[in-house]
Amino acid sequence: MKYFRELVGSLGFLLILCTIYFGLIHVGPAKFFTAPNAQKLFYLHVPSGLITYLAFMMVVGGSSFYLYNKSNYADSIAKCSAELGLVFGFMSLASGTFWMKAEWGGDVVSRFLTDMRLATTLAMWLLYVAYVVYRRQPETSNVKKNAAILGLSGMLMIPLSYFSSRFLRSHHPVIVGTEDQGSLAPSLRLGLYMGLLGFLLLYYFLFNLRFRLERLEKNYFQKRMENT
Amino acid sequence: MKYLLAFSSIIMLLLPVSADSYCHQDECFTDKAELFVSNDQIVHIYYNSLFEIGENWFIVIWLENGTNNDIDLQFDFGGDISKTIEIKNGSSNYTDSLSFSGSTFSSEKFDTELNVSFNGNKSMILEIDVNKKPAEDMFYLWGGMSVFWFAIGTYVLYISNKLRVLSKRIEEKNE
Repeated sequence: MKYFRELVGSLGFLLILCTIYFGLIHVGPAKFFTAPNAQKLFYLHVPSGLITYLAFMMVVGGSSFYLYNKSNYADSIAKCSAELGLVFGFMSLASGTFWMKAEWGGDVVSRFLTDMRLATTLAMWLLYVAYVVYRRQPETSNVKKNAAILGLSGMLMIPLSYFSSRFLRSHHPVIVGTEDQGSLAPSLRLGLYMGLLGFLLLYYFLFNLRFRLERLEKNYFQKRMENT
Repeated sequence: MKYLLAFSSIIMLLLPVSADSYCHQDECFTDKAELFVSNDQIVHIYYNSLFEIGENWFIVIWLENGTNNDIDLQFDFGGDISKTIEIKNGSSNYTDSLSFSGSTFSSEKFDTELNVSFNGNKSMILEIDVNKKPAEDMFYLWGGMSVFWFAIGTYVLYISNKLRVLSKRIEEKNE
């Protein structure tokens, strides 16, 4: 299908708009929250966080494949996905900061230093900032190998961030995979899943776009090397 | 010492409700109205023309001269929302106040009429605006929501810029 990618992107965008409409207008202010209006960030904050994990897991997968069989394809997947992980991670961290400030109050910096969920997620994000920055140099096999090793450290950081609110000191609520997920109000669940699907489709669209660009760039530089 | 402390606490608690403490100066309220009860008896009514939902709204009255009759001043928003101040016979230079709770209204309404009645006769209408302040956490909501569009927009710009540079290079190479 010729315009499949564009169709997926548009659908994702539309779903996100629907989620925003649903969260902001259809559902009234949330009950039992200190900041009932800021709670509406939930519908995009949680999906962006989950997509961040997905993106960084793709980096881990791509990096492992590269180290295993030196596949440039896998290396490109890791590189493109790391960038998208930063984008979605930024969304999740920044929106979470706004929500946290409204709901919990207090000093943002000390929250990030003392709440393990926030601290480990920020550390994971910064790790992949380092990964992306490292990849901005000419791509020799040595650079790719070192980047893959750096990318693999997500194997530790992703579960650490994800499970930190379950096992370490944290105020961050835990919903996914717990009893609370089942007891979520149907309206909350609908908004959450709609946002999640929207972001998933958007991730697919952006990843596809970035991956195509990466291949084009690689072909161009390869041909230029051959000519010289 | 214990009794002295208890006594002082009671005095401190009573002080704010003492009649003399009602502010009936112009600077305390945004608006003022005068109700002529008789030729030499004027009741000054101090109020704010803006009713903020969620905050108590006060009216202070000041009877400038003494009165030889009982005076009932009724403040009525309509729909059973009314309150009365009773001024007893013989009162002189009398000050009193009443308040409407911040939950009296739930939505914005301009030019809301407050009927003031004197001993059961409608005497004057005060017009006020009922205002609803935006919730404090709305700032955080819009801040948080902008983050998503900022991030997606910036990344799309980054990709398109990268693609433009690459296309230009390919074109130059082909030429």
